[in-house]
Amino acid sequence: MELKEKDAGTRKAASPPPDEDAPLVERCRGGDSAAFEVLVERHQKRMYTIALRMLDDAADAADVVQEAFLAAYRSLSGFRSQARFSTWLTGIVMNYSRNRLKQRAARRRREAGSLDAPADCGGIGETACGCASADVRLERKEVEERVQRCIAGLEDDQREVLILRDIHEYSYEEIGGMLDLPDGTVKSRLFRARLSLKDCLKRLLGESI
Amino acid sequence: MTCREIEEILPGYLDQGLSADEERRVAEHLETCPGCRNTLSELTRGVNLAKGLEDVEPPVWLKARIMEQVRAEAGRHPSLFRKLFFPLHIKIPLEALATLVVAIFAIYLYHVTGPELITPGAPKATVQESMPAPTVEATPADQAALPEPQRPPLPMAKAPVPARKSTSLNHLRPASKQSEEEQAPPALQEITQAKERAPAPSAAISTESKARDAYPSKEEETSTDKLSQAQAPMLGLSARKAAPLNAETAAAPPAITLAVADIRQTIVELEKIMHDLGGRSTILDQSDTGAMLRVILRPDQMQALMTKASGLGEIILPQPTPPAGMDTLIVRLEQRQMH
Repeated sequence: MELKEKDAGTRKAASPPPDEDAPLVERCRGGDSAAFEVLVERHQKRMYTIALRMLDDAADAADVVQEAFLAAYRSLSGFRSQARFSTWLTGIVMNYSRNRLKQRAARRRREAGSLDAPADCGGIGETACGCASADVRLERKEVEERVQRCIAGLEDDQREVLILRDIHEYSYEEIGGMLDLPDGTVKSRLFRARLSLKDCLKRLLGESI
Repeated sequence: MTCREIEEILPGYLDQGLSADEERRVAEHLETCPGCRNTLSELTRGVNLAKGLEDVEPPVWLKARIMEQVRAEAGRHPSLFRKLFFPLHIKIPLEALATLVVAIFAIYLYHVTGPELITPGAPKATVQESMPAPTVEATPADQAALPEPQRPPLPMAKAPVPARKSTSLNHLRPASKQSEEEQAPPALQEITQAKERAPAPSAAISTESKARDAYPSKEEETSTDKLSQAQAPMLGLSARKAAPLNAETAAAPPAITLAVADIRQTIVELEKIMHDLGGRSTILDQSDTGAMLRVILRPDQMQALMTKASGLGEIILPQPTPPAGMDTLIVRLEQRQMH
């Protein structure tokens, strides 16, 4: 219930904010690559995290973020400021992540013989998290790893909606725009994703959930 | 609602993802069902755990690498394709609109100028051909445009020379030629009149007739050449304009006229002869009293054709000499008069 109230409040507050990236985008359109550097600095962390949650692979996530920023720079002239720049950029990252997942699935089919998939190699577990004491940090890291494992185990179409809605708190409308999906589809995918995540966490964390 | 139905929509209860009616029914159910309350609690916990995931620091080199690519991109001139078509949502509609405007303008131009392009080529003869008695009622100018006397009188679809030609030659012909034309043999005049009474020929036949009339005989060709060359300046025509007329005239196939007893029978026999000689024939015009065929044959077979043709009827014009080096011949058949 707490979550519900908090979320409703967030949505009300988030409805009319002006896009603080708009002036930088304008400068970029005028050929100012330094302005784009500011945009990269501002958004790379979030884009990298989204790609990492989607792909569960640090190298792939870095590749996808590079490709997405370059694609965004090339397409800035076509960017209509109806959406926020960050939302538009997230859509590009999601598209590149989807493509990467497809490539990966195709490669996996080709290499169907080998079953020794590297479980955590290069994944989120390798990333640093600096806070609190060593014990708390370790425990938190373990939980995060399990949550990430559950997220990574979701169907691709469920995972992307869950990442956008529950981790990065985009609105249903924004998600529909990014993924080019109707509102009802976004919701049904999200509901299934939440149920699957709940079941997975219950298995991995036991009663502690 | 059953617990199973509630569980399907319960994830939407977390963030107002349900309709007002669904939300009310879920709330009512949750008040009485501890199992579903537990499920809701697990769902909330799971979502909170996901929300609690922190953003991950990207590799330190990521921004530098992105900007390296961006600067390289900024220094590169966009390709022609990119200039022409990107951004797609702006360029494509613009280009489609431009294409549409050009297409509409082209159609408009065609409609406006089309008739003007056709009119000069349409010979006056076309109208006269389909009209009765063109020779008798023709104006003096039109009479002057009639075929040359050296040319065999045309028993069928006798049409004046196209208007284009008459423009250059009308007033240059001696009056005696016109009178010779009018003095055609009575039998042929009858045929001519019969033809004139016949229904107007089809467009295809008209075209053939025009083509035939556009190609005068050898003698006419010579005189036309001389006249064109000598009189072109007087007529206001440049030599360059007169030249194509002569070139066109020079390509005229020779013609022979046969007087036969039975037109249809003769056509059948002639086709058989052509088949035997390895040539082919096309009927250009046919009626009860006459016919005209175009035959195409190897030049060395022309003599054999003339010999066999003389067996079909009486060759009346010109003399039965095979045309040298020609592979096309116009054969006119006339109904032989029974005395």
